[in-house]
Amino acid sequence: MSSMSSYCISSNRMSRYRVLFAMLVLGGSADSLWAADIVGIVVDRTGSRHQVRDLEIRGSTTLEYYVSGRRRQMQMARIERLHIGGTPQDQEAPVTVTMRTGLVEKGTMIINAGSSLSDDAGSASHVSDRLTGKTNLGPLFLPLTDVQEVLFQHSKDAPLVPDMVSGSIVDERGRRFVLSDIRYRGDDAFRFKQGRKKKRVALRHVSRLEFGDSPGGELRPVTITYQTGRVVQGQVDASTVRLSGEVDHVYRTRTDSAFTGVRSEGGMFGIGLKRVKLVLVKAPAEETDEATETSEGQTQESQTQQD
Amino acid sequence: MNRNVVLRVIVLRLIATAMAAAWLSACASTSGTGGAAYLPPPIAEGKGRLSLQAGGINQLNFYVVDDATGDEVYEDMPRISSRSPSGYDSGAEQNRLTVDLPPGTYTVIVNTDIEDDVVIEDVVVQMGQEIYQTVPVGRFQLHMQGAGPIGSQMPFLIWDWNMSGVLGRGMTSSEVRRFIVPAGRYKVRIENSSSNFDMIKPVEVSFGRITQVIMSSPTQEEPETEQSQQN
Repeated sequence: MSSMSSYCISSNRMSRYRVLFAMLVLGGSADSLWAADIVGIVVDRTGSRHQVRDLEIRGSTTLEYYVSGRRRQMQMARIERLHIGGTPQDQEAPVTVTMRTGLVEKGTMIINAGSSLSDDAGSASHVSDRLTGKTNLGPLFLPLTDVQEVLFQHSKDAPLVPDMVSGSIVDERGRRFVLSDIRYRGDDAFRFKQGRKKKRVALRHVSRLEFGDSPGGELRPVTITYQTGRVVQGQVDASTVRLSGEVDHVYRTRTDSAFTGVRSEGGMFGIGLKRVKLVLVKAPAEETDEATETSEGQTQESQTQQD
Repeated sequence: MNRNVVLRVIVLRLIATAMAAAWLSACASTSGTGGAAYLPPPIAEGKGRLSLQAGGINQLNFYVVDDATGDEVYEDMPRISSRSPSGYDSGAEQNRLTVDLPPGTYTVIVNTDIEDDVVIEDVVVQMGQEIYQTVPVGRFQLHMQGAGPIGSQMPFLIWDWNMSGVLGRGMTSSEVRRFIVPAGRYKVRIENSSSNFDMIKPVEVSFGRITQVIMSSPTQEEPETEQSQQN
């Protein structure tokens, strides 16, 4: 369910300790740090299987697809299996993405956008829709229209990244909402600015986001507290001015649903950056503890009932 | 005969010496203070050099984080916002994508003109050595033809291919202005409701190339035609 809006390249292997340390300090996503050497089995539409290393799609280790009409970018290091349906003639084919966590997402993926009108773009620039990699027989170049399935093979050491985070959001009136699957603009990372510098931090590495007041309301200051205790200051664009060319649903999503989640009592939740005051994210360990306690409690209850 | 031979040898030696001296002086002139603008300076003592290759792009907004400590060790943010009306590219831009760093492992984060950043991890810098790291970004340029009543500076939005969300904003310019984005497919939309101008164009950006996108704006004749029809 989580998405990544960064393109990652890896040139060398790092020790696990260093990777984890960098992950925590950078606030980035662990998945991107393990993006090196993607290995998998590629099955084409004729049924032939290819054992491929250094696997890339459109020259990247990030897979771009759409779920319920929303763009999603996912590191291949987090994917277990990719199935491409449809026919080779399709421009956009249905895909099923199975994560390593077991989560299954169904959506669509552009496999042949080169069929768009060539006179739309003024130059001959062209993005090749193909899967590339290396096999024992040499380099592999396979058009995405010919790919049916990719079975990714991951190292056992590669950490399993949780799909969602939970916590609570407090609005400016002081009301508190307990939520699961908290997202920021549909992403599992929070993006902010420090001057001209743009930064992003995975929500699972954050414990607290506190939004300050700004006179104009365009840029709101935010204090980010990491799970490690580190505190960072930044700014977010909280403007509610409608941009020319922005359609209704995009405008409403931007202004009213910067943070989204699922309420504990059921139902979707969304709040804009104008109204949010505090975001408290539960540490993954806390969630595990609670889940264990809950399951233990349920076991005790069931035992009592049996008695 | 022997004297002639000896003289010839001496003359040849003199000529060779003069040529060698001229060659050495030429070398000295390019590697001395006058040539500092042409050759990269030597790598600083105890450091290694990291050069980013961005396919002809000389300046990027990027910062470097030391993986061992998590500290930002270098930052260069020369490019102003893509939505700023005063932004333009200059042919006199110097390459600012080279940085000398202490030996270590680094992460390079390149900010583009849209929300998506390019993150290059595990960049290993070794003492006294220069490494080249490719940054998969490309550029596109928007040409407004017949800007006429709506002007040459117009804000536009950069969307993903399916137009499910806005990835970034920009401003057209009468000057040369190129927008840097990760290589991939996008769509650009310009809307001006007062002049009924609304255009969406697909943009394919690839590494090392500049994609030209041509937008034809409404001419001044069209409103007159409408007026005459109304009359």
